[in-house]
Amino acid sequence: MLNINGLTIKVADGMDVKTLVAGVDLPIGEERIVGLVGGSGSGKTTTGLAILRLLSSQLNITSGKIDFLGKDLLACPEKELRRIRGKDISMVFQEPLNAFNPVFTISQQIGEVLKYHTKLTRRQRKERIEELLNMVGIKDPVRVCRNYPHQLSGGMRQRAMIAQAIAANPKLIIADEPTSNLDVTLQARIIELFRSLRADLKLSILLITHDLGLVAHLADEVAVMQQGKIVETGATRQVLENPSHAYTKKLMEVVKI
Amino acid sequence: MTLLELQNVRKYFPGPKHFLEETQYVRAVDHVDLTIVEGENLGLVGESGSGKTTLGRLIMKLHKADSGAIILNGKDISKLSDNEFRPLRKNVQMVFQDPYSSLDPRFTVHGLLAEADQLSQEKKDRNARLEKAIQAVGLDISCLKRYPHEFSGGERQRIAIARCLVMNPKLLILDEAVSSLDVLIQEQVLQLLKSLQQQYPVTYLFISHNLRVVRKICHKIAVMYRGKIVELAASDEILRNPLHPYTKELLTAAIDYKSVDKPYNEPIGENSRLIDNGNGHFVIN
Repeated sequence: MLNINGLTIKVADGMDVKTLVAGVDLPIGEERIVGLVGGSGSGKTTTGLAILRLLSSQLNITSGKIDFLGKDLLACPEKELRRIRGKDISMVFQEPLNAFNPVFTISQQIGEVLKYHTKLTRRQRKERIEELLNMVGIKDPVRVCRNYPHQLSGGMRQRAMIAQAIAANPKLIIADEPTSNLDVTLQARIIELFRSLRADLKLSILLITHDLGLVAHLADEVAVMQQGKIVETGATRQVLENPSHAYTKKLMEVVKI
Repeated sequence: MTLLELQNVRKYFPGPKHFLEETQYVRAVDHVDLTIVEGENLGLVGESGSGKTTLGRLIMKLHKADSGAIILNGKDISKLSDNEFRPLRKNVQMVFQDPYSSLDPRFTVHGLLAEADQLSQEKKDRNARLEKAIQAVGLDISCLKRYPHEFSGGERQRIAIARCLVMNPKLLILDEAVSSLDVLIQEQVLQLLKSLQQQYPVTYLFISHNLRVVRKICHKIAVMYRGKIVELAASDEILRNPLHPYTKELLTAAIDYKSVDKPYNEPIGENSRLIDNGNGHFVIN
C-alpha cells in the first residue's frame, strides 16, 4: 500500500552536509503492522515525518519516492497532500500533551478532522466523536468531549489522540513512540487497542519505537534502523529469533528480562 | 547497617473543595514502613499515581510528612526544620526524570557541579573533585566548559548524576531517571550506575514503573499501590514468584505486554500490614 523507495534526507550542518536517512526502502502492506526500530538519532522519526512531508525546512529530501496507492507523495502538490494528511494517513505522537492544542476541547479537535475530511453535519459529528471515543475504550465520552487536554490523564490523552487519528477512517497510521511515555500497565492496554483497531478498521500501522519488546508483541514485520540505514528487515518472529545484524542483537539483549 | 528507615509515614493531599462538603484526601503515601540497608539498592515500582514519587520527595524533605518518622542515619529528619535539615540534605540526593528541565541552561556544567560542591565542601581541591565526578560518569573533562544544551539526553542524565555525586550522598534517589532515554542509552546509564557504586559509597532508591529496568540494578523491589507497599522481596524472588495480584498484573504488562481482563482495583484495608511469607518475601494481608 505504501512503498518507500530509496528515501534520502540530508541536512546542512555548517559547511558540511549530513545524511540523516540514507536510501531507505520500506514497504508497508495492507492491514500490516510494521515496526521501525532504532536508537535515538537513527532517523526513524525523520522517516516517519517524511511520509507526510512534515519535515522542518532545513531537512531536504534529496532523492527517493514514497508511493501511496499509486501516488508519489513526494511529488504531489501541497493542496492534494492536505487531503491525504489526517484522512488517508494520520499520525499518533509520543507526547499527546504537546500534540493537542491546549485551548480547544477534545471534541473540538476531533471535530476539526471530521469537518475537514467528511461531509457530516454538526449533529452527526457529535455522535461520531462519541462513537470514536467509545471505540478507543473511553468509558464516559460525553465528559471527555468537554474536557481540555490538560484535564485528562496520560493514558486518556493517548486514547483521545488515537481517536483523532482514526476519525476519518485512515488506511495508515504512523505511530511515533505511542507508548513510551506511559507506564507499563497502560502501555499494555494501548497495544491491545492498536491490535483490535487493526482488525476492526482494516488499517496498517507504521510503529516507530526503540523498544524491540513492543515490536515483538505488536508488529508483523520489523525494520531495524541504524544511522539512517535499514540494517535488517524481515518478519518479526524471524528477525527476533535469529537476529543477524550486531545492532539488532544489541537491541535484543537490552530488552531481555 | 540501616541507612534509612520510614516508620508509619503518611502524606495526604487535599482534593478539590466543595461548599459544605468534607474535603476528600488523596492518600499519596498511606502509613508506609520501609527500610533501606546500606549498599542494598531498593527498587520502588508502581503505576503512575501510586505515590512512589511522593515517597521519594518525602525522603528529600521536598514535601513535609503528615505523620510518621523518617530516620536517616539514626536521626529523625521529619521533625527537623528546613534550617536544621539543610546541612544533612547532601546525604540524600535526587536525579529527576527529565534531564532537559532539571539542569539550568544558563550554567556551564562546571557551574552546575560547583554549585553542588560549594554546598557540601570547602573550596580546596574543588576542581579535582569536579573532574573526578565528571570522569566517573564517563564524560570528558572538557565537558565542564560546555552548557547543558550541547548534550544529548543520556549525557545530560550523566551530568545530573555527577552533580549528585560531588556531594558524596549516602542515598541517591533516581526518580524515573532512565525512563525518557531509549533502551540502548538506558542500558549504558544502568551499567554506569552499577560501576559508580565501586567508586562512591552510595545506595540507590530506584523509582520506576519498569520492572525490567529495576531488576537490573536493585537487590530488592517494593511494589507500591494506592499509597501502600503491597509486596516487598528480593528482586529475583519477586519476579519468579509474585504473590500479590497487583504485582502479577505489573509483571504481565512489563514482560508480555498484555493487560489482564480485570485490572486490580481493590482498596487496601486500613489495618493491613506486610506479612512475611518466608525468605524475606513480604506481602500485604
